[in-house]
Amino acid sequence: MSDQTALNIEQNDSNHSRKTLIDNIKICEERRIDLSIVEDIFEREGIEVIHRWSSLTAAAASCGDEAATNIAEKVDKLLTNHILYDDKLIMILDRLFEDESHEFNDAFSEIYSVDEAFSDSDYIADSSYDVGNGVSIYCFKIVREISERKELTESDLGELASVLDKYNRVIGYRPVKVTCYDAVIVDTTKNRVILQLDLGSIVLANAVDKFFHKLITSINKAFDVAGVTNCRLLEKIQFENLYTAIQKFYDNEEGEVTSASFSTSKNNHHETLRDRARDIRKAEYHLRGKAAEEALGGKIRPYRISKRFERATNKWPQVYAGVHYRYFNKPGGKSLYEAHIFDINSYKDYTFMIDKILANR
Amino acid sequence: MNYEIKNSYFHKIIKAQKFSEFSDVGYSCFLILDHLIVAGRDREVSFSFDELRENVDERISDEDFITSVFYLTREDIKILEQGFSAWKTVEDRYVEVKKEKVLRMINSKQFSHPYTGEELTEDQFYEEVIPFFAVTKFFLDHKNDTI
Repeated sequence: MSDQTALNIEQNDSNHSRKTLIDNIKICEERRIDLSIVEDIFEREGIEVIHRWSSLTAAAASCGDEAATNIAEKVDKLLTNHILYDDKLIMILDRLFEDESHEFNDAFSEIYSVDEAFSDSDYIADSSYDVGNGVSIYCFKIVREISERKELTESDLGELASVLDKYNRVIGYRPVKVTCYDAVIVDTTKNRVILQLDLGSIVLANAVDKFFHKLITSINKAFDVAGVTNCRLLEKIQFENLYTAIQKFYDNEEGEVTSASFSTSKNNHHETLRDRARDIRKAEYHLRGKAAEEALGGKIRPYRISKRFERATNKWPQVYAGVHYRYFNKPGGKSLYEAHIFDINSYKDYTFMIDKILANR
Repeated sequence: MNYEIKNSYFHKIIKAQKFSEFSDVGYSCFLILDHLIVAGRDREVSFSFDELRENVDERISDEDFITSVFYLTREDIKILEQGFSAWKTVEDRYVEVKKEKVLRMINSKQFSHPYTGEELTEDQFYEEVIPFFAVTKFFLDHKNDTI
Protein backbone atom coordinates (compact mmCIF):
# COMPACT_ATOMS: atom_id res chain seq x y z
CA MET A 1 0.00 0.00 0.00
CA SER A 2 1.40 3.41 -0.92
CA ASP A 3 1.72 6.15 1.68
CA GLN A 4 -0.93 8.18 -0.15
CA THR A 5 -3.44 5.31 0.05
CA ALA A 6 -2.65 4.83 3.73
CA LEU A 7 -3.32 8.53 4.36
CA ASN A 8 -6.64 8.37 2.51
CA ILE A 9 -7.73 5.41 4.58
CA GLU A 10 -6.73 7.23 7.75
CA GLN A 11 -8.74 10.27 6.70
CA ASN A 12 -11.67 8.07 5.80
CA ASP A 13 -11.45 6.38 9.21
CA SER A 14 -11.34 9.78 10.88
CA ASN A 15 -14.34 11.02 8.86
CA HIS A 16 -16.19 7.82 9.60
CA SER A 17 -15.58 8.04 13.36
CA ARG A 18 -16.60 11.71 13.39
CA LYS A 19 -19.81 10.86 11.56
CA THR A 20 -20.47 8.14 14.14
CA LEU A 21 -19.79 10.66 16.93
CA ILE A 22 -22.19 13.21 15.41
CA ASP A 23 -24.83 10.49 14.89
CA ASN A 24 -24.38 9.37 18.49
CA ILE A 25 -24.80 12.93 19.81
CA LYS A 26 -28.06 13.15 17.85
CA ILE A 27 -29.19 9.85 19.39
CA CYS A 28 -28.34 11.23 22.86
CA GLU A 29 -30.65 14.17 22.11
CA GLU A 30 -33.37 11.88 20.78
CA ARG A 31 -33.13 9.74 23.92
CA ARG A 32 -33.50 12.87 26.13
CA ILE A 33 -30.13 12.35 27.79
CA ASP A 34 -29.30 15.36 29.96
CA LEU A 35 -27.40 17.77 27.70
CA SER A 36 -25.11 18.79 30.56
CA ILE A 37 -23.68 15.26 30.77
CA VAL A 38 -22.65 15.25 27.10
CA GLU A 39 -21.47 18.85 27.35
CA ASP A 40 -19.21 17.93 30.29
CA ILE A 41 -17.51 15.28 28.12
CA PHE A 42 -16.53 18.02 25.65
CA GLU A 43 -15.44 20.41 28.36
CA ARG A 44 -13.22 17.80 29.99
CA GLU A 45 -11.39 17.63 26.64
CA GLY A 46 -10.89 21.41 26.82
CA ILE A 47 -13.54 22.19 24.20
CA GLU A 48 -15.82 25.10 25.03
CA VAL A 49 -19.36 24.68 23.74
CA ILE A 50 -22.55 26.71 23.94
CA HIS A 51 -25.25 24.92 25.89
CA ARG A 52 -27.04 23.52 22.81
CA TRP A 53 -27.09 20.20 21.00
CA SER A 54 -26.25 21.92 17.71
CA SER A 55 -23.13 23.39 19.31
CA LEU A 56 -21.98 19.89 20.32
CA THR A 57 -22.40 18.44 16.83
CA ALA A 58 -20.57 21.47 15.35
CA ALA A 59 -17.71 21.03 17.83
CA ALA A 60 -17.61 17.29 17.07
CA ALA A 61 -17.12 18.09 13.39
CA SER A 62 -14.38 20.64 13.91
CA CYS A 63 -12.32 19.65 16.98
CA GLY A 64 -8.88 18.02 16.77
CA ASP A 65 -8.55 14.31 16.00
CA GLU A 66 -7.29 13.32 19.43
CA ALA A 67 -10.11 15.16 21.22
CA ALA A 68 -12.66 13.69 18.78
CA THR A 69 -11.41 10.17 19.50
CA ASN A 70 -11.58 10.65 23.27
CA ILE A 71 -15.02 12.27 23.09
CA ALA A 72 -16.33 9.57 20.75
CA GLU A 73 -15.22 6.85 23.15
CA LYS A 74 -16.95 8.49 26.12
CA VAL A 75 -20.16 9.36 24.24
CA ASP A 76 -20.34 5.80 22.95
CA LYS A 77 -20.01 4.43 26.49
CA LEU A 78 -22.62 6.87 27.80
CA LEU A 79 -25.04 5.96 25.04
CA THR A 80 -24.53 2.20 25.41
CA ASN A 81 -25.13 2.38 29.16
CA HIS A 82 -28.22 4.51 28.58
CA ILE A 83 -29.63 2.07 26.03
CA LEU A 84 -28.96 -0.94 28.23
CA TYR A 85 -29.65 0.28 31.76
CA ASP A 86 -30.99 3.80 32.23
CA ASP A 87 -34.55 5.18 32.24
CA LYS A 88 -36.24 1.74 32.19
CA LEU A 89 -39.58 0.40 33.28
CA ILE A 90 -38.84 -3.04 34.66
CA MET A 91 -40.67 -6.21 35.67
CA ILE A 92 -38.80 -8.98 37.46
CA LEU A 93 -39.15 -12.75 37.43
CA ASP A 94 -37.15 -13.81 40.47
CA ARG A 95 -36.36 -17.09 42.21
CA LEU A 96 -36.46 -19.19 39.04
CA PHE A 97 -35.12 -22.71 39.16
CA GLU A 98 -31.55 -22.91 37.95
CA ASP A 99 -32.46 -24.91 34.86
CA GLU A 100 -35.25 -22.40 34.04
CA SER A 101 -32.91 -19.43 33.80
CA HIS A 102 -30.54 -21.49 31.61
CA GLU A 103 -33.46 -22.52 29.42
CA PHE A 104 -34.44 -18.87 28.97
CA ASN A 105 -30.89 -18.01 28.01
CA ASP A 106 -30.79 -20.82 25.42
CA ALA A 107 -34.22 -19.80 24.11
CA PHE A 108 -33.20 -16.17 23.57
CA SER A 109 -29.99 -17.27 21.85
CA GLU A 110 -32.18 -19.43 19.62
CA ILE A 111 -34.55 -16.65 18.54
CA TYR A 112 -31.56 -14.47 17.69
CA SER A 113 -30.36 -17.15 15.30
CA VAL A 114 -33.69 -17.44 13.43
CA ASP A 115 -34.20 -14.61 10.92
CA GLU A 116 -37.99 -14.79 10.77
CA ALA A 117 -38.54 -15.03 14.53
CA PHE A 118 -39.91 -11.46 14.66
CA SER A 119 -41.15 -11.21 11.07
CA ASP A 120 -44.72 -10.82 12.27
CA SER A 121 -43.89 -8.20 14.88
CA ASP A 122 -42.95 -4.50 15.20
CA TYR A 123 -39.85 -5.64 17.07
CA ILE A 124 -36.44 -6.43 15.62
CA ALA A 125 -34.00 -8.67 17.52
CA ASP A 126 -31.33 -5.97 17.56
CA SER A 127 -28.34 -6.99 19.64
CA SER A 128 -27.29 -9.19 22.52
CA TYR A 129 -24.56 -8.76 25.10
CA ASP A 130 -22.79 -11.14 27.44
CA VAL A 131 -21.91 -8.94 30.41
CA GLY A 132 -20.22 -11.73 32.38
CA ASN A 133 -21.15 -13.53 35.61
CA GLY A 134 -23.83 -15.48 33.76
CA VAL A 135 -25.75 -12.35 32.67
CA SER A 136 -26.94 -11.81 29.10
CA ILE A 137 -28.90 -8.88 27.68
CA TYR A 138 -31.16 -9.27 24.65
CA CYS A 139 -32.30 -6.00 23.05
CA PHE A 140 -35.39 -5.70 20.87
CA LYS A 141 -35.69 -2.56 18.82
CA ILE A 142 -39.06 -0.88 18.25
CA VAL A 143 -40.07 2.56 16.99
CA ARG A 144 -42.60 4.26 19.26
CA GLU A 145 -44.56 7.38 18.58
CA ILE A 146 -44.74 9.79 21.48
CA SER A 147 -46.44 13.12 21.90
CA GLU A 148 -43.97 15.92 22.43
CA ARG A 149 -44.99 19.21 24.05
CA LYS A 150 -43.57 22.45 22.70
CA GLU A 151 -44.21 26.09 23.43
CA LEU A 152 -44.91 27.64 20.04
CA THR A 153 -43.01 30.75 18.99
CA GLU A 154 -43.86 33.35 16.35
CA SER A 155 -41.90 31.43 13.73
CA ASP A 156 -43.73 28.17 14.58
CA LEU A 157 -47.08 29.91 14.22
CA GLY A 158 -46.30 31.78 10.96
CA GLU A 159 -49.47 33.46 9.72
CA LEU A 160 -51.22 32.60 12.97
CA ALA A 161 -48.65 34.49 15.07
CA SER A 162 -51.25 37.12 15.97
CA VAL A 163 -52.76 34.66 18.50
CA LEU A 164 -49.76 35.55 20.67
CA ASP A 165 -51.33 39.00 21.13
CA LYS A 166 -54.21 37.29 22.89
CA TYR A 167 -52.40 34.47 24.72
CA ASN A 168 -49.19 34.57 26.76
CA ARG A 169 -48.22 31.04 25.79
CA VAL A 170 -49.37 28.71 23.06
CA ILE A 171 -48.52 25.06 23.57
CA GLY A 172 -48.49 22.48 20.80
CA TYR A 173 -48.21 18.69 20.87
CA ARG A 174 -46.63 16.88 17.99
CA PRO A 175 -46.12 13.20 17.33
CA VAL A 176 -42.46 12.22 17.40
CA LYS A 177 -41.04 8.81 16.51
CA VAL A 178 -38.40 7.51 18.90
CA THR A 179 -36.34 4.35 18.49
CA CYS A 180 -36.56 2.33 21.69
CA TYR A 181 -34.60 -0.69 22.83
CA ASP A 182 -36.78 -2.86 25.03
CA ALA A 183 -34.84 -5.74 26.50
CA VAL A 184 -34.73 -8.95 28.46
CA ILE A 185 -31.92 -9.52 30.93
CA VAL A 186 -31.28 -13.13 31.89
CA ASP A 187 -29.18 -13.76 34.98
CA THR A 188 -28.29 -17.44 35.27
CA THR A 189 -26.33 -16.85 38.49
CA LYS A 190 -29.13 -15.17 40.43
CA ASN A 191 -31.79 -17.11 38.47
CA ARG A 192 -33.62 -13.99 37.43
CA VAL A 193 -35.23 -12.66 34.26
CA ILE A 194 -35.92 -8.93 33.92
CA LEU A 195 -38.16 -7.44 31.25
CA GLN A 196 -37.63 -3.79 30.52
CA LEU A 197 -39.23 -1.05 28.46
CA ASP A 198 -36.84 1.57 27.20
CA LEU A 199 -37.21 5.29 27.93
CA GLY A 200 -39.62 4.80 30.80
CA SER A 201 -39.95 8.56 31.35
CA ILE A 202 -41.75 9.03 28.03
CA VAL A 203 -44.08 6.03 28.29
CA LEU A 204 -47.50 7.26 29.38
CA ALA A 205 -48.79 5.49 32.49
CA ASN A 206 -51.84 4.11 30.67
CA ALA A 207 -49.64 2.54 27.96
CA VAL A 208 -47.31 0.59 30.27
CA ASP A 209 -49.48 -2.55 30.45
CA LYS A 210 -50.06 -2.53 26.70
CA PHE A 211 -46.35 -2.17 25.90
CA PHE A 212 -45.28 -4.95 28.29
CA HIS A 213 -48.02 -7.20 26.91
CA LYS A 214 -46.79 -6.54 23.38
CA LEU A 215 -43.20 -7.35 24.34
CA ILE A 216 -44.24 -10.57 26.07
CA THR A 217 -46.48 -11.79 23.23
CA SER A 218 -43.89 -10.87 20.56
CA ILE A 219 -41.21 -12.86 22.38
CA ASN A 220 -43.50 -15.84 22.94
CA LYS A 221 -44.41 -15.83 19.24
CA ALA A 222 -40.72 -15.68 18.38
CA PHE A 223 -40.16 -18.72 20.65
CA ASP A 224 -42.87 -20.54 18.66
CA VAL A 225 -41.38 -19.56 15.29
CA ALA A 226 -37.91 -20.63 16.44
CA GLY A 227 -39.28 -23.96 17.67
CA VAL A 228 -38.59 -23.24 21.34
CA THR A 229 -41.09 -25.37 23.25
CA ASN A 230 -39.74 -25.39 26.81
CA CYS A 231 -39.93 -21.63 27.51
CA ARG A 232 -42.65 -19.02 27.68
CA LEU A 233 -42.74 -15.61 29.26
CA LEU A 234 -45.70 -15.51 31.60
CA GLU A 235 -48.28 -12.80 31.93
CA LYS A 236 -47.53 -10.01 34.37
CA ILE A 237 -49.25 -11.59 37.36
CA GLN A 238 -46.38 -14.10 37.53
CA PHE A 239 -43.81 -11.34 38.01
CA GLU A 240 -42.67 -9.98 41.37
CA ASN A 241 -45.35 -7.97 43.14
CA LEU A 242 -43.63 -4.72 44.15
CA TYR A 243 -46.66 -3.09 45.77
CA THR A 244 -45.36 -3.36 49.35
CA ALA A 245 -42.09 -1.72 48.27
CA ILE A 246 -43.93 1.64 48.13
CA GLN A 247 -44.46 1.67 51.91
CA LYS A 248 -41.10 0.04 52.60
CA PHE A 249 -39.23 2.63 50.56
CA TYR A 250 -40.78 5.25 52.83
CA ASP A 251 -40.27 3.36 56.09
CA ASN A 252 -36.72 2.12 55.52
CA GLU A 253 -34.33 4.84 56.57
CA GLU A 254 -31.53 4.14 54.11
CA GLY A 255 -31.38 6.27 50.97
CA GLU A 256 -33.27 9.49 50.27
CA VAL A 257 -36.90 9.97 49.27
CA THR A 258 -37.01 12.57 46.50
CA SER A 259 -40.78 12.74 46.06
CA ALA A 260 -43.89 11.05 47.38
CA SER A 261 -47.65 11.19 47.15
CA PHE A 262 -49.22 9.96 50.34
CA SER A 263 -52.40 9.75 52.25
CA THR A 264 -52.99 10.71 55.87
CA SER A 265 -56.15 10.45 57.95
CA LYS A 266 -57.18 13.95 56.86
CA ASN A 267 -55.79 14.51 53.41
CA ASN A 268 -53.69 13.61 50.41
CA HIS A 269 -50.31 15.19 49.95
CA HIS A 270 -47.68 15.39 47.28
CA GLU A 271 -44.23 16.41 48.40
CA THR A 272 -41.23 16.77 46.19
CA LEU A 273 -37.69 17.90 46.86
CA ARG A 274 -36.93 21.54 46.31
CA ASP A 275 -33.65 22.92 45.11
CA ARG A 276 -30.96 21.67 47.52
CA ALA A 277 -33.04 19.56 49.89
CA ARG A 278 -31.99 15.90 50.01
CA ASP A 279 -34.85 13.89 51.54
CA ILE A 280 -38.48 14.96 51.92
CA ARG A 281 -38.73 12.85 55.07
CA LYS A 282 -36.26 15.15 56.82
CA ALA A 283 -37.92 18.46 55.94
CA GLU A 284 -39.31 20.24 58.98
CA TYR A 285 -42.86 20.59 57.60
CA HIS A 286 -42.88 16.86 56.81
CA LEU A 287 -41.67 15.90 60.28
CA ARG A 288 -44.30 18.19 61.86
CA GLY A 289 -47.09 16.68 59.73
CA LYS A 290 -45.88 13.15 60.41
CA ALA A 291 -45.78 13.77 64.18
CA ALA A 292 -49.32 15.22 64.07
CA GLU A 293 -50.57 12.21 62.09
CA GLU A 294 -48.92 9.75 64.46
CA ALA A 295 -50.42 11.60 67.45
CA LEU A 296 -53.82 10.81 65.91
CA GLY A 297 -52.85 7.15 65.69
CA GLY A 298 -52.36 7.29 61.93
CA LYS A 299 -49.34 7.01 59.68
CA ILE A 300 -47.98 8.28 56.40
CA ARG A 301 -49.23 5.94 53.68
CA PRO A 302 -47.46 6.59 50.38
CA TYR A 303 -48.95 5.43 47.08
CA ARG A 304 -46.26 6.92 44.84
CA ILE A 305 -42.64 7.31 45.80
CA SER A 306 -39.25 8.07 44.27
CA LYS A 307 -36.16 7.09 46.17
CA ARG A 308 -32.43 7.20 45.52
CA PHE A 309 -29.72 5.08 47.07
CA GLU A 310 -26.03 5.94 47.23
CA ARG A 311 -24.06 3.15 45.57
CA ALA A 312 -20.74 5.00 45.68
CA THR A 313 -19.70 8.61 46.27
CA ASN A 314 -21.92 10.88 44.14
CA LYS A 315 -23.60 7.90 42.44
CA TRP A 316 -27.29 7.89 43.32
CA PRO A 317 -29.41 5.59 41.14
CA GLN A 318 -33.14 6.21 41.60
CA VAL A 319 -36.36 4.21 41.52
CA TYR A 320 -40.00 5.23 41.25
CA ALA A 321 -42.85 2.93 42.24
CA GLY A 322 -46.47 3.96 42.46
CA VAL A 323 -50.13 3.37 41.78
CA HIS A 324 -53.10 5.60 41.06
CA TYR A 325 -54.86 7.02 44.13
CA ARG A 326 -58.18 5.41 43.12
CA TYR A 327 -56.55 1.99 43.03
CA PHE A 328 -54.72 2.65 46.29
CA ASN A 329 -58.05 3.33 48.00
CA LYS A 330 -59.82 0.23 46.72
CA PRO A 331 -60.34 -2.50 49.28
CA GLY A 332 -58.61 -5.87 48.88
CA GLY A 333 -55.17 -7.12 47.88
CA LYS A 334 -53.05 -4.88 45.69
CA SER A 335 -50.39 -5.49 43.14
CA LEU A 336 -47.77 -3.50 41.27
CA TYR A 337 -45.53 -5.29 38.83
CA GLU A 338 -43.37 -2.54 37.42
CA ALA A 339 -40.96 0.10 38.68
CA HIS A 340 -39.18 2.91 36.86
CA ILE A 341 -35.42 3.10 37.36
CA PHE A 342 -33.34 6.10 36.32
CA ASP A 343 -30.03 7.88 36.95
CA ILE A 344 -28.47 4.49 36.25
CA ASN A 345 -25.03 5.06 34.75
CA SER A 346 -23.55 1.57 34.68
CA TYR A 347 -24.28 -2.12 35.06
CA LYS A 348 -23.13 -1.81 38.69
CA ASP A 349 -25.78 0.88 39.31
CA TYR A 350 -28.34 -1.33 37.58
CA THR A 351 -27.78 -4.51 39.62
CA PHE A 352 -27.48 -2.45 42.80
CA MET A 353 -30.88 -0.90 42.09
CA ILE A 354 -32.55 -4.21 41.23
CA ASP A 355 -31.21 -5.70 44.48
CA LYS A 356 -32.58 -2.69 46.43
CA ILE A 357 -36.01 -3.10 44.85
CA LEU A 358 -36.10 -6.82 45.62
CA ALA A 359 -34.85 -6.25 49.18
CA ASN A 360 -37.83 -3.92 49.74
CA ARG A 361 -40.55 -6.00 48.06
CA MET B 1 -39.70 52.84 60.11
CA ASN B 2 -38.82 51.79 63.63
CA TYR B 3 -36.48 48.87 63.88
CA GLU B 4 -34.34 47.90 66.82
CA ILE B 5 -31.05 46.52 65.53
CA LYS B 6 -30.15 43.34 67.34
CA ASN B 7 -26.82 42.47 68.76
CA SER B 8 -25.73 39.71 66.39
CA TYR B 9 -22.63 39.55 64.26
CA PHE B 10 -24.62 39.80 61.03
CA HIS B 11 -26.78 42.69 62.25
CA LYS B 12 -23.56 44.55 63.03
CA ILE B 13 -22.15 43.80 59.57
CA ILE B 14 -25.25 45.21 57.88
CA LYS B 15 -25.38 48.18 60.21
CA ALA B 16 -21.82 49.04 59.14
CA GLN B 17 -22.81 49.20 55.44
CA LYS B 18 -23.41 52.59 53.86
CA PHE B 19 -26.91 52.63 52.38
CA SER B 20 -28.55 55.67 50.87
CA GLU B 21 -30.70 57.47 53.39
CA PHE B 22 -33.40 57.65 50.71
CA SER B 23 -33.74 53.90 50.36
CA ASP B 24 -35.02 51.12 52.62
CA VAL B 25 -32.42 48.58 51.48
CA GLY B 26 -30.78 48.41 54.91
CA TYR B 27 -34.10 47.97 56.71
CA SER B 28 -35.10 45.26 54.20
CA CYS B 29 -31.76 43.49 54.84
CA PHE B 30 -32.46 43.48 58.58
CA LEU B 31 -35.95 42.03 58.12
CA ILE B 32 -34.69 39.28 55.81
CA LEU B 33 -31.83 38.57 58.22
CA ASP B 34 -34.27 38.20 61.14
CA HIS B 35 -36.25 35.68 59.11
CA LEU B 36 -33.15 33.74 58.06
CA ILE B 37 -31.87 33.44 61.62
CA VAL B 38 -35.05 31.49 62.42
CA ALA B 39 -35.90 29.78 59.11
CA GLY B 40 -32.43 29.27 57.63
CA ARG B 41 -31.80 26.11 59.59
CA ASP B 42 -29.46 24.44 57.14
CA ARG B 43 -28.18 24.73 53.59
CA GLU B 44 -30.96 22.50 52.26
CA VAL B 45 -33.69 25.03 53.08
CA SER B 46 -34.29 27.34 50.15
CA PHE B 47 -36.27 30.52 49.69
CA SER B 48 -37.93 32.01 46.65
CA PHE B 49 -38.21 35.78 46.16
CA ASP B 50 -41.88 35.53 47.16
CA GLU B 51 -41.12 33.72 50.40
CA LEU B 52 -38.54 36.31 51.38
CA ARG B 53 -40.91 39.13 50.37
CA GLU B 54 -43.56 37.84 52.79
CA ASN B 55 -41.19 38.64 55.64
CA VAL B 56 -40.42 42.17 54.53
CA ASP B 57 -42.54 45.21 55.34
CA GLU B 58 -44.88 45.80 52.40
CA ARG B 59 -44.16 49.53 52.53
CA ILE B 60 -40.66 48.74 51.28
CA SER B 61 -40.59 48.99 47.49
CA ASP B 62 -39.99 45.91 45.35
CA GLU B 63 -36.87 47.54 43.99
CA ASP B 64 -35.34 48.05 47.45
CA PHE B 65 -36.39 44.54 48.46
CA ILE B 66 -34.70 42.94 45.42
CA THR B 67 -31.58 45.06 45.95
CA SER B 68 -31.45 43.91 49.57
CA VAL B 69 -31.72 40.21 48.63
CA PHE B 70 -28.78 40.52 46.26
CA TYR B 71 -26.94 42.61 48.84
CA LEU B 72 -27.06 39.66 51.20
CA THR B 73 -25.44 37.46 48.52
CA ARG B 74 -22.39 39.74 48.20
CA GLU B 75 -18.98 38.18 48.73
CA ASP B 76 -18.23 40.47 51.69
CA ILE B 77 -21.62 39.79 53.35
CA LYS B 78 -21.93 36.02 52.68
CA ILE B 79 -25.39 35.50 54.17
CA LEU B 80 -27.24 34.15 51.14
CA GLU B 81 -26.20 32.36 48.00
CA GLN B 82 -28.24 32.20 44.84
CA GLY B 83 -29.00 28.98 43.00
CA PHE B 84 -31.19 27.96 40.05
CA SER B 85 -33.51 25.03 39.40
CA ALA B 86 -35.09 23.74 36.21
CA TRP B 87 -37.61 21.02 35.39
CA LYS B 88 -36.05 17.61 34.79
CA THR B 89 -38.56 15.34 33.10
CA VAL B 90 -37.02 12.02 34.08
CA GLU B 91 -37.19 13.04 37.75
CA ASP B 92 -40.56 14.76 37.35
CA ARG B 93 -39.42 17.70 39.49
CA TYR B 94 -37.26 20.84 39.55
CA VAL B 95 -33.60 19.99 40.05
CA GLU B 96 -30.75 22.38 40.84
CA VAL B 97 -28.70 23.47 37.84
CA LYS B 98 -24.98 24.22 37.94
CA LYS B 99 -24.75 27.95 38.56
CA GLU B 100 -21.84 28.46 36.14
CA LYS B 101 -23.94 27.12 33.28
CA VAL B 102 -26.78 29.52 34.03
CA LEU B 103 -24.46 32.49 34.39
CA ARG B 104 -22.69 31.61 31.16
CA MET B 105 -26.02 31.64 29.31
CA ILE B 106 -27.04 34.93 30.89
CA ASN B 107 -23.72 36.53 29.98
CA SER B 108 -23.70 35.20 26.41
CA LYS B 109 -27.42 35.93 25.92
CA GLN B 110 -27.72 32.52 24.27
CA PHE B 111 -30.43 30.77 26.20
CA SER B 112 -31.47 27.14 26.28
CA HIS B 113 -33.08 24.75 28.72
CA PRO B 114 -30.39 23.50 31.14
CA TYR B 115 -31.43 19.84 30.86
CA THR B 116 -33.03 19.38 27.44
CA GLY B 117 -30.93 21.94 25.56
CA GLU B 118 -34.06 23.28 23.84
CA GLU B 119 -33.35 26.80 22.57
CA LEU B 120 -35.26 29.43 24.52
CA THR B 121 -35.86 33.14 24.24
CA GLU B 122 -34.67 35.27 27.14
CA ASP B 123 -38.24 35.51 28.51
CA GLN B 124 -38.80 31.76 28.20
CA PHE B 125 -35.47 31.12 29.93
CA TYR B 126 -36.45 33.18 32.98
CA GLU B 127 -39.74 31.29 33.14
CA GLU B 128 -38.04 27.90 32.94
CA VAL B 129 -35.01 28.53 35.14
CA ILE B 130 -36.18 29.45 38.61
CA PRO B 131 -33.90 31.30 41.03
CA PHE B 132 -33.77 30.42 44.70
CA PHE B 133 -31.72 31.49 47.70
CA ALA B 134 -30.16 29.46 50.49
CA VAL B 135 -28.08 30.47 53.48
CA THR B 136 -24.32 30.00 53.31
CA LYS B 137 -22.16 27.77 55.49
CA PHE B 138 -20.54 30.97 56.80
CA PHE B 139 -23.97 32.21 57.90
CA LEU B 140 -24.76 28.92 59.66
CA ASP B 141 -21.41 28.99 61.43
CA HIS B 142 -21.91 32.53 62.73
CA LYS B 143 -25.63 33.26 62.86
CA ASN B 144 -25.73 32.99 66.66
CA ASP B 145 -22.55 34.98 67.25
CA THR B 146 -23.00 38.19 69.16
CA ILE B 147 -20.78 41.23 69.28
